[in-house]
Amino acid sequence: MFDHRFTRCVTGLFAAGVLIGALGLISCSEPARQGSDPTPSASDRGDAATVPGLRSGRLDVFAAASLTDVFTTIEPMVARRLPGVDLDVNFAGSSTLREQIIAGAPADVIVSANRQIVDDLVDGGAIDGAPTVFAVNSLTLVVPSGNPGEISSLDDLERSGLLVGVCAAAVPCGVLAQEYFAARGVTPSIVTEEPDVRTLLAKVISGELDAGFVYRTDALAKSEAVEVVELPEIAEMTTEYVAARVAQSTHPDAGQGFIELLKDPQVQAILLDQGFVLP
Amino acid sequence: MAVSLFVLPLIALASNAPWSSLGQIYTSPVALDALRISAIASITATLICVVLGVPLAFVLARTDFPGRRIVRALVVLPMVLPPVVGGTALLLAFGRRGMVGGPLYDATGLLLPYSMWGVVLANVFVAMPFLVVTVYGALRALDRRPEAAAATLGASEAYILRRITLPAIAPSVGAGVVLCWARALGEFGATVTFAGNLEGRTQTLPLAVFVTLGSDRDGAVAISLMLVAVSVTVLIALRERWWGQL
Repeated sequence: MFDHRFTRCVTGLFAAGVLIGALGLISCSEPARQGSDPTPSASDRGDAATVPGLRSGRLDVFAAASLTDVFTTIEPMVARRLPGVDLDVNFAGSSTLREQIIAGAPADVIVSANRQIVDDLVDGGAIDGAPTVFAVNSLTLVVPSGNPGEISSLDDLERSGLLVGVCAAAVPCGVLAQEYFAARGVTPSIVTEEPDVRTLLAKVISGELDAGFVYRTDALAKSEAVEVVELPEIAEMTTEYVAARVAQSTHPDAGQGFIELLKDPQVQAILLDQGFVLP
Repeated sequence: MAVSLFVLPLIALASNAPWSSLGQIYTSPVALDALRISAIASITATLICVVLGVPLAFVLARTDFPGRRIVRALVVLPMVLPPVVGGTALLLAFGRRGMVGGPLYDATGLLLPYSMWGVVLANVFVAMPFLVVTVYGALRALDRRPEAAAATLGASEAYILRRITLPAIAPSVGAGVVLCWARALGEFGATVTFAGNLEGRTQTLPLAVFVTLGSDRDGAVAISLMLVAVSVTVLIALRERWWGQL
């Protein structure tokens, strides 16, 4: 009897799971919603120490997956320079971030690895103020330590049986890779298009892929686990990192403070150190 | 309020659906490729689940051996495990550098990730428990007296199984098969982690939704709608089993 009840309980849970799964997919198609909170008036500004306009103390930053290391490094600096601000970063592929914001996710700032993503949001009226370009990244080819696939040139990438990974065409690093292949006229033997650059990098590090097209900064961050293969003119495939305030943000001043901090010499030094180029 | 939580998103999905271009989207190469891979992988996975899962349910329900409860718990584990964790575990076991996959690849050149078989394996891993649990429950609840009576009348074990036990649990096996297939069809996390994502090779319908959402919103919503329709059909098909008993 117990077993029968158990079965029914489990099947019931499954039914709930199906609905929750559907809900997850559907939440992406909810229409964009403007914040109902009024933006603070000019008289609220001026007190830099307490960061006006910040009520909950939490600043939600939606950032491209490739910024994971940078943002982790600058977190203590944010705490020092923007007192009272509790930085909360949501990392994902830039196109996922765009969809989340269109769907009304509570973001204050978006930091995208591609200008187009922010431009789309500007067109949709989801952005306040002018977007700020604060860093530039470039495409690079990485292989696991020891280069098991013995890749040294572009032609090697077309060898059948080789496991080459790229980012999906919907995310900036995937766009760059496809542009590069088109420009050089090559068709690498691609076996997977990963949803974001970090999962791609992880598969190269673990040796599940022979090579992957990632950012220069990813290659530098994991230089102990991957090797860079120099390819012609690949460094010219660049993407701009753009930060912008989300229109529905409930603390725009804190958001603006965060964006200005990205142009700060100290942060720019960290960006350079991690392999970014300054605009 | 609880009902609206479930109903509102469905309404939102339906109202955002590109109804006029649905036909065009469903016949696009991306959707057709994903549909083909999803159909082949989920049906193959379900067949494997039946071949392996029904005997397993019999062993768990009818025999007593040391560690039976542990095996039963392990069988249910993938139901509660986050699929991404399942995919990572599969990669560590059957990946090119995996515990089993490594020696296999070195010896034969056979590679499960990035192939249809990788998708099938991910599907089997997450979906088989649904079949096993359903059949197991039916076997435990089954009245054993007809079997005993047949045995005293001289029927062989195979005859009893074929003529009494299997017909008696057939509806549960059917329900288990549908559940198992529906779970396999909706699989995302383990598939993308273990098998990767490539249109025409490993990109199933849920993967197509996730990946195209960034570039082709209408397409993603249209494919989502297709998956919701399948889920609703499954619920309706099994309504007697679930809701009738409550």
